[in-house]
This record gives sequence, structure tokens and C-alpha cells, in this order.
Amino acid sequence: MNMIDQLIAGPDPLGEGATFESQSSEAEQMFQKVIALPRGRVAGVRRIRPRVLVASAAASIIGAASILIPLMGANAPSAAASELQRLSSIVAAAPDATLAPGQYEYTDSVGLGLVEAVERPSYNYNVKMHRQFWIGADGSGRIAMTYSDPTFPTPKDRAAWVSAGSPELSGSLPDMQSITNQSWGASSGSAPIDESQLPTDPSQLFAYVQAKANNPSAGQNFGELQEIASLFEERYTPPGLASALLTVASEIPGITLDNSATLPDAAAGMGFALTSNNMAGWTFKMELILNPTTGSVVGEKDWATSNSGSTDSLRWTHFVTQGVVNSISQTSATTKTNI
Amino acid sequence: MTRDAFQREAEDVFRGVWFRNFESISKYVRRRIAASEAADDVVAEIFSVAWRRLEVLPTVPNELPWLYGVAHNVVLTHFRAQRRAFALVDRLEANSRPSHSSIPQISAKLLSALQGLSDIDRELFRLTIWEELSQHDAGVVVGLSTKAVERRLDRARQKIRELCIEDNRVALFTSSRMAFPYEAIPIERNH
Repeated sequence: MNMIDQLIAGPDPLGEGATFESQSSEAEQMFQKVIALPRGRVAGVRRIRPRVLVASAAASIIGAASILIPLMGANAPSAAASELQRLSSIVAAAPDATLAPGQYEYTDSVGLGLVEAVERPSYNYNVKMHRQFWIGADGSGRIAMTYSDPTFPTPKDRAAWVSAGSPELSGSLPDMQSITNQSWGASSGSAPIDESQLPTDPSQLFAYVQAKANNPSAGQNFGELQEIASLFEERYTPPGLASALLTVASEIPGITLDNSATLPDAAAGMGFALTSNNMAGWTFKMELILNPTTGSVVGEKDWATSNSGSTDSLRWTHFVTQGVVNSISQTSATTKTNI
Repeated sequence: MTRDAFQREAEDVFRGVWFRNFESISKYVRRRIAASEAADDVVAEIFSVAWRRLEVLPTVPNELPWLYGVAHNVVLTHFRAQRRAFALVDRLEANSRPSHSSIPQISAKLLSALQGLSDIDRELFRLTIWEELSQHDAGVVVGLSTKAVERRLDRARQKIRELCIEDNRVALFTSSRMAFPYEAIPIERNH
């Protein structure tokens, strides 16, 4: 190993002597959790569709269900909950368009993203993004992205950038060239969650969503809403699951309704939002925007508002189109799906 | 053979996979994710993929590179998910902390050059140095041919070497911990 190699790789964060015993009690617990999960096809065995596919242990399912059940019917539903339940009924009746072999779910989206640059001092900037994503049922797919028009969300970010020597902003996008047009095969380990295996029972699905959610201290339940949104994004969401997801969303405490939610590119819909606690003089809001007629996903956005009312770092995505195509170069879907 | 017998057989096979690879995969993850709880979740997710796809899991010696390939994707997914949901919160939290640099000695120019390397290039260096993989196996992880790996490593070395010589900074790279987190790479969707 030479110094250049070491420089690029960086010092080994583990240092000397770190051990991870495969036979420790902690490892054995993890092993048992893993093998408790339903597997894919087993040679010679008729596949038994699992009722629940979760990454968490059964205990968390029971725990989450016990949380959800008291929520259901405990109070009169809020306006947001009523609308989500209405849309849940609508999407449940949508036709199924499960991908056949050789087909891909194609999603075209535009939006604004936040780049966190690792400099001295660190700073952030926004870039406009255009993203096209193809994903097959076997996990193969392609991504094509472009970035443009970097801007600083705050004067502090700009000042930090200047302090760092005003480097080229594109320099903070190291993988731009390699990932703006990248495809991968079925064996890459990139297979998405098989949504046909997810539970459509709201209590079980709530448990799944809660187990996957990553909630910050200031934004209770943001993780659940984000996880629900992510299950609609860039993949085919079967009608039964879509319906259950909206039912689960209706049960998230604190979710509010915005009848005229808009995105900066003028896309509009019905917004369902969560607002964080005040933190250091700021509150954060994230919103999932749905088509009020079809229940399909229009977009998402999140932003921060200061105590003085100024808005910072609006980030958003508009899902322009989504549907089934027959190759990873095709962009005109014959069958529209979630969007 | 009954379904239970098949299940037991699958568990036996998978236990072998687990014993052979748990330590390597755990180290891979902990080198990239410091928080132990999150790292444990990621390790479990990697092996969950292996469990679900046991019938297509390659045999030794290709088993571990395949698992590293899964690990590569799962770790990236972890960072994307973590970042996209709460970047704003994290940013304010970060801003409220005293700022300190973990890489004080490196010139801005060289740092910029290091950041300018693609994440795949950096990952190749990590795989060959930290995980001690061959160039062939590192290529399996990131989906490149051995030749492509060799070319990428050579180009990256040359680029940095030139800057080192130019800046006469080589001696400064020995003590600081350099972190080039995945968070710097906006490959996730933008929310």
C-alpha cells in the first residue's frame, strides 16, 4: 500500500483489533431475526406468500399495532384523515398493472435538491434536478439525472462557500458523471422491495412503516410520512397497497390538510403535511401532495420556516409521469400507474 | 422433501454464509456507518437480502464479493434515506454545534481534488485497502471489470500524486482522519 492509496482510502476507521463474532449472542439474535423473514423462491417448494414482510421483529409489529388500534376511531377524524380515507377508497379501485418480465416502471421527476458540501467550513447549496428512473421487477434498471443552476439557500451558506475558497460547485458532485446515466442488472443486489409482498392490512402495514421510519427528535412521525411517500416513488405500488398506505397516513398524529398545495413549478394538488416542533428558532414541514381526484402522487416538498417567518431551503419533487415501459430507454409509458 | 425440511436445509446453508462472512460484512459496514445501532440494522438488511436470494447467492470464492456488492448498495441506500428525510434538521443541528474540522492539514486544493474523485473510485480504494479485496473482487462489488478497476485506480492515483507533488503536501497526510462521507453525493432523489 502506498501513501497515495492510503490518502484516497483514508485511515481505517476501525483501527486495529476490531472484532465481530458471528457466534456472539447479539449476532445470533440478528441471525434469528433474518431467518424469520420470508424468503424468495425455494427450489422445490411451492411459494407461500407471506402475510407480512417486515424488517423488524414480531415484537415491533405487535407494539406498533397496539399503537395504531387505539388511534383508530378514538377521535373524530381530522379533515386530513377524512380526505386520505376518501382517496384510499379511490385508489383501491384502480386497475392493477403489475410488471411483466422485461417491463419496467418508469418515473420522470423534476425538483430541487440540497447538496451538502464537505468543505471547511461546510455549506449547502441547492441544485435543480431532472431524474428519470427505470426499475424492473427483477431489480434491473437505469437512472439518468441532470443537475443545473446551483444556488445557496442562505447567506450563511454562501459565506461558508466563500471561506472555503469558492470552489466549483460542481466539484461537490463527485459522481455526477458516473451516475447521471447508469444502468444495472438483476444480480446487482439492487432489487427493490417487492411491494406485492407488503401487507395491505393497515395495522400490519403501519407496523412495517414504523419499523422502517427514522424519526428525528424534532419531527415526530416525519419518518412514517417519508416512508409512506417512498413506497409510492419510482416503483409500482399495487392498488391494495396504495390504498392501505393512505389509510396508514390518515392515522399519523398531527397530519394536516392543505387543499391547495403547490410546487414551485406550478404543479398543484391536495397536500398532507407534518410540522416539526420548533428547534433553534425553526420549524420544519414536509408535505405529500396527491391528486384530489385520483389519489395519485403529484409530489413532495419540505422546507423550514424561521420564527420571523422567513422560509429556507425549500426542497421539492414533482413526479411528472410514471408508468410501465418495455425497455430502459423508453420514456413514453403506455400504462400510467401511480401518477 | 417437506417444506419444513427445505426450510431447515436453507437455514443450514445460510448459517454457513453467516459464519463465513459476518465479520467481514460487519467490518465493512462499521467502517462506513459509525453509529452501532444503525450499522447493526444495515448488517441485518444485507444478510436479509442474502437470505431472500439464497438460491442465487454465488458460492465461495465469489460469495463475499457478492455480499460486498449488496452491502455497497444497502449502505448507499441507508445514507440516501437518512439524508433526504432530515437534511434540514441535521443541518440546523450541525450549525448549532461548535464547528471543527477533522481534516485541518490538507490544502483546500487537494481536498477539492479528493472530493472530486468519484465515489466509486474512493470505494475501490477502500475495498482494496480496508477490505483487502483483489482488483477483480472489488470490480465485482461495484460492477466493473478488472481492467476498468485498474484504470480507475491508476487515474485516481495519478491525479492525486500530481497535486501532492505540486502542493508538496504529502507529509501532511498522516495524522488526521479523513472522512469522505456518502452524504456528499447527491445520488438520491431530492427531498
